[in-house]
Amino acid sequence: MTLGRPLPFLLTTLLVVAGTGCDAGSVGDGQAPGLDDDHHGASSDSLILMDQAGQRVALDRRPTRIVSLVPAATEALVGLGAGNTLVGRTDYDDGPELADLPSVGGGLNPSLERLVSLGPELVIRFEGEQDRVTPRALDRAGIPHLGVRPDRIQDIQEMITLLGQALGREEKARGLIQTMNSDLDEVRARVAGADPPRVVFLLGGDPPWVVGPETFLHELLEVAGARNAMDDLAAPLYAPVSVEEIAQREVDRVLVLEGATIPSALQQLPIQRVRNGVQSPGIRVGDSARHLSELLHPQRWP
Amino acid sequence: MAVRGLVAGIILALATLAAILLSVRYGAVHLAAHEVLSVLLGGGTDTHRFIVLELRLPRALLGVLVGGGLALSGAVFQALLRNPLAEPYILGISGGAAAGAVLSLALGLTTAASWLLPGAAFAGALVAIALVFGVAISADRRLDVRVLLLSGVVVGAFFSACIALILSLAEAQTVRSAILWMMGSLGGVSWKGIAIVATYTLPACVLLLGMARALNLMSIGEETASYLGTEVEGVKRLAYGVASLVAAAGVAFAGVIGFVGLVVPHGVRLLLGSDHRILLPLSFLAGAAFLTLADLLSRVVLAPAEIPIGVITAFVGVPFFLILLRRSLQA
Amino acid sequence: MTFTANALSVRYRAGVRRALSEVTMSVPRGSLYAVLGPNGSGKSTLMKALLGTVQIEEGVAAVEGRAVDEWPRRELARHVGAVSQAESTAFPLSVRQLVEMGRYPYLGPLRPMGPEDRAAVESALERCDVSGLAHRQVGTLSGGEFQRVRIARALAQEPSALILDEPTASLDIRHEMGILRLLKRSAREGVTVVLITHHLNLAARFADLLLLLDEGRVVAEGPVDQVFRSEILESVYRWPLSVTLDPITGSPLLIPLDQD
Repeated sequence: MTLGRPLPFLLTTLLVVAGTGCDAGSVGDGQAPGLDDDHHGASSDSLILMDQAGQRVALDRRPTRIVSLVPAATEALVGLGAGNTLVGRTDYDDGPELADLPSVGGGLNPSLERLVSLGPELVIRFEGEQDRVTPRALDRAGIPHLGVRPDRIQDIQEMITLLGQALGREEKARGLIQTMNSDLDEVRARVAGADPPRVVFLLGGDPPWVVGPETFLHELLEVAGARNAMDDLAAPLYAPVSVEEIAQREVDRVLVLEGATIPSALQQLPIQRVRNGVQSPGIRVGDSARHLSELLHPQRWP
Repeated sequence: MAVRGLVAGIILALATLAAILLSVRYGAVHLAAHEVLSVLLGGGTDTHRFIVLELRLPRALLGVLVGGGLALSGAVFQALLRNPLAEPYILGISGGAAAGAVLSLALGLTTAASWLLPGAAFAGALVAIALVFGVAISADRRLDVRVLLLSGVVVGAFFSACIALILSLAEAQTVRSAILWMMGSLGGVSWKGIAIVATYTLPACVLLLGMARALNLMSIGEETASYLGTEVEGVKRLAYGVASLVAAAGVAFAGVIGFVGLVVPHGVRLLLGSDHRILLPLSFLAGAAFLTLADLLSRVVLAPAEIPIGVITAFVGVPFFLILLRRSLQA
Repeated sequence: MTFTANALSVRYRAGVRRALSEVTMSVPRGSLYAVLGPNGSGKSTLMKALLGTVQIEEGVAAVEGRAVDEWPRRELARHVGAVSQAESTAFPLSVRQLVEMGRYPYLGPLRPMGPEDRAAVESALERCDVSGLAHRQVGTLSGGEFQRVRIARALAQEPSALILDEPTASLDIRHEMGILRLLKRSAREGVTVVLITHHLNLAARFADLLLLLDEGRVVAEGPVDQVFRSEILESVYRWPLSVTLDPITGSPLLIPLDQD
């Protein structure tokens, strides 16, 4: 079967190969995020960080104008006492202290014009395939950016450490992490020995999106004394799952975010509503763990 | 008629230029006219230069290239298929490109390099084209219109199913990214991207413009075209191939923007007739101006949010086209 | 221009039987050559075979002695004007634009129309009595008007041969006679005219030579009085016929009888 048009195909291949070349941005090389000790700059203020995307990011000085595109990171920045460095927010940052700041739109694919015109010295962004445009535009604009990826509790703590280093508030960051760990330990202690119920955590939708095994919410469930019935999910983070699948897992409790709607077929199951905010991978996960634990093991929290 | 064509051509060329200038002047951030002007003359602050030269200008140029390319290839498909409902995606190109793009998003490949997403989309479009033409050629050595249309529909449906499958298994954010990509957007293009699109689109468009008389003949029927001196099979292969390439390049960089390739050539035809020596260049210019202006609207109407450009092209294009249609029926 | 076929056979892709079977015929230069036969006898196929728009299974079709598939299309179009049975335009076009396409074989992709081209178009419009329709949209024409426009387009090619398939099918008497007289005059001036038609009597009156086909085969070829005979025609058309002499024109006249 001849196609009779070899020329366009040849041209295509040639141009795709030749015209693209090597793009800027090295892929991660396996180092842990944080300070890059081998490359301390001459001035004590300049530093080089390794973000959670595996990129080396150089900062000439402590940033005094920051835009965070990740609400959990914004929360962390405020917790680190750097709320006054924020010069912009996203539409999803609804805290009252941020309301006066101009918005750049969504956290993923924000308005580049608004972002750049705020003149940030550092941008915190979510590292993922959903938005490759923003990091490239920031590179072209010469604005340093830190990619964060708070999937699991360890990732959240790395993010806090990273932000602390960027701000020169490593002490405060350590303190926040310590508080988080002791909160989590306290919850673990409270429910020690209690029989863990099989739980599925729904974020809403039809078919419903459930919490998978490689997320901090999965870890919080374990801390709170429960077992995630969806721990063998093929998609490790969050994925939609059919109602039959949930039904056949013999679930003891169904946790649903407050305000989320779920399919009517699941309404007969024992549902417990979880307060809004638990889904945020930020500095308050210790409180979230406690809240979950109170729902699941009320007798341990008199 | 030639004089009307020339006048219309000048008006549309000026409209395209105006569209570019307006796109550079207005956006999600307010810039004063003199600030924009100083950037264009080589000065301005770094932030302003970035916004105007790195964000707005490439975007406007992409609108010109993609809008012009889609309208031109739409006109060519309408002539070859002798069907006023033909448009650049009728042979499955959009389905293939979307499948390629969605697959690369779902596999997380786009993280590795900036060209992988448009590259995958372009590859998907080429697969669709190869399938459609392969089916048509294996059925009958010639490229029969009915077989092409049918294969286009079938191949398009196949790719839609592939997309549905991939999305049903993918993560939440991938689904959202995929849907946004499929709705079309001119955002995020760099100057390198512009160079690539221009390399595909401009020579292809010049080639197609040179085929204007051949397309005039093809549009009245293949047998008659042959009697009037057309090497029908050769013209079909070249025209289908090049027009598909232009459409594929457009989809690869801008997603699936509907409506432009169908309605712009029609509008031009209603006003200026079907002589392709006028229809083709004016469709290019009209498409270029239309898409660039649509992109401007998509950026400023609900700033900082962006309305998907396919929504604007439909909302603006449909009433405009209906008015044109009424006028032509009353004439 | 001469047209010849030698043991020409054509089979359509889906065809069980051949559309043309071992057809041998020859059209001399400057003659008016009519092709006759019942429906499905292969008349239109013969035209397509002679002009290279259908695939030949066996045998040869030649124009001016050269196999038709060796002719570059544009060159052939400068010599032969063809009007097929039907045509439809998908998009709006004016009559003038349609007739101007007859000049494309001389213009190629880029050259604009010159004074000779315009003159050829005007002359063609006049000879087919469609000058008054020049600014009309083709889609608004009647069947007969459209047909005359298409013939005008073929004439605009200034060809040395014309092949026409049922060119007078939708025409009224005045226009039909006009076209046939035009074709006859052209033949006298040296243009070879091949005319496929159902109008047996008009063919007999105007043609120099006749070709009679039946089910893809040649039944008879030759001067009118040799082919236009009741026994030959009856065997092909399978209906009782009587052939007499038309007292006014002196040409053979065919009268279909009642079947008793």
